[in-house]
Amino acid sequence: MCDMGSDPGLTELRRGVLGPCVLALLDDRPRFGLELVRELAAAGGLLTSDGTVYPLLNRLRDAGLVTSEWQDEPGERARRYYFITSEGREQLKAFRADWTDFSATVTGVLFPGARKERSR
Amino acid sequence: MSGPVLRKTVLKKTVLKNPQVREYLRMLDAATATLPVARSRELREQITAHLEEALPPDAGPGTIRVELWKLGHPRELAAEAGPVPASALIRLRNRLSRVRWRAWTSIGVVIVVAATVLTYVLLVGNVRPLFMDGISSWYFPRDSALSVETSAGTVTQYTVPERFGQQQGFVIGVENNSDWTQTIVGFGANWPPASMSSAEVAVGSGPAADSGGIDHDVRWDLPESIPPHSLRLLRVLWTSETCLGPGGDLLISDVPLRVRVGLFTRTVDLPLGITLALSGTKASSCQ
Repeated sequence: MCDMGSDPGLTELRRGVLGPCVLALLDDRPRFGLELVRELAAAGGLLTSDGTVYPLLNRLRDAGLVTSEWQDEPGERARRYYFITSEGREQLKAFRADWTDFSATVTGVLFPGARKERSR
Repeated sequence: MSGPVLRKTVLKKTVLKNPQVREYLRMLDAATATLPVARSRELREQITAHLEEALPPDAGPGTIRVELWKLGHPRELAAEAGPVPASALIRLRNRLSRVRWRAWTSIGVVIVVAATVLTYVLLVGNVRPLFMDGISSWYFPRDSALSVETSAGTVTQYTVPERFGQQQGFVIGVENNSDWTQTIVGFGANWPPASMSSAEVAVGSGPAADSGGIDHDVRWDLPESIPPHSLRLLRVLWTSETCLGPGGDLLISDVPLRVRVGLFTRTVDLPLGITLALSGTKASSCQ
């Protein structure tokens, strides 16, 4: 998915927020790989390419933030589901708090007029 | 946390058999070849599961092309999966660890066979050649009676008159001082000389011949084997067909032989240690 351009700065920004976004989706409920990819793609602008979600999932697993297991549903294809761990939830919670402050700060710096207007 | 659990695809009809998909997976394998095996296998399994889920088995080329484009270039995925190890040794180890046990077994078998063959060739090549054991005499009593011994320095020469058109020959002792059986199969190249016709070489066997003697029971055969650390008699016969003339002579100081050792046959030059000579006679003897 290349709908957000290939600016190196944006790529780095995406890379930084994609992990927490995956954790947030898994916090909602366990998901299998393609499901995650489709939802992240639908959100728009988060993925440079669909395939990069999988190395990210593996890194999150190595860090102990997610786990995975194969599930065989009757009449369905066997799928590998990913689950958030308690450690992943803690990290997501911390990121959410940081992100609120961080994004407000960045918005304030990038759009000073908007901040003054809000403060009035 | 437990490690990844890989699964095999059991679906019969699958988009994974599509040439475009196979090429993509081949490129992915190549791009991840320097990564640790477990990591690259896991990524491959995830990508194949993704493709099977995203594409119907009979997906058209356009649909497949779009899906593969959305997945991203294999190099990009490999870069995300982990950095290429800086150490060439680790990269090599990662590549080698992908080689299946069957391939390792085949390589092992080839190495063992090659080493065995090489060892065998070296052993055969280093087998001590046959050598003359000091026994020597003219084969026919008529020649022995006329043999004249002369010495010059360390060389001793036994000379007999050429008997034109008649069979002449000599017998020498040949020793095999190696641990291998050596089989004499014939003359080596360029022997006999053009002046000899109907030349033949044979190895004597029998109770007397085995101890270096000659009697009526000696059997002359070719090819004939000489067991390890054994002595045998070698007989060389020919018909003299060059009229040497007075003052002319034909010298024999060695006999090239074809000798088989194990699976290989080689040419061995057998020095006589002496010189056997045929001398010319008056022209009327050549008629």
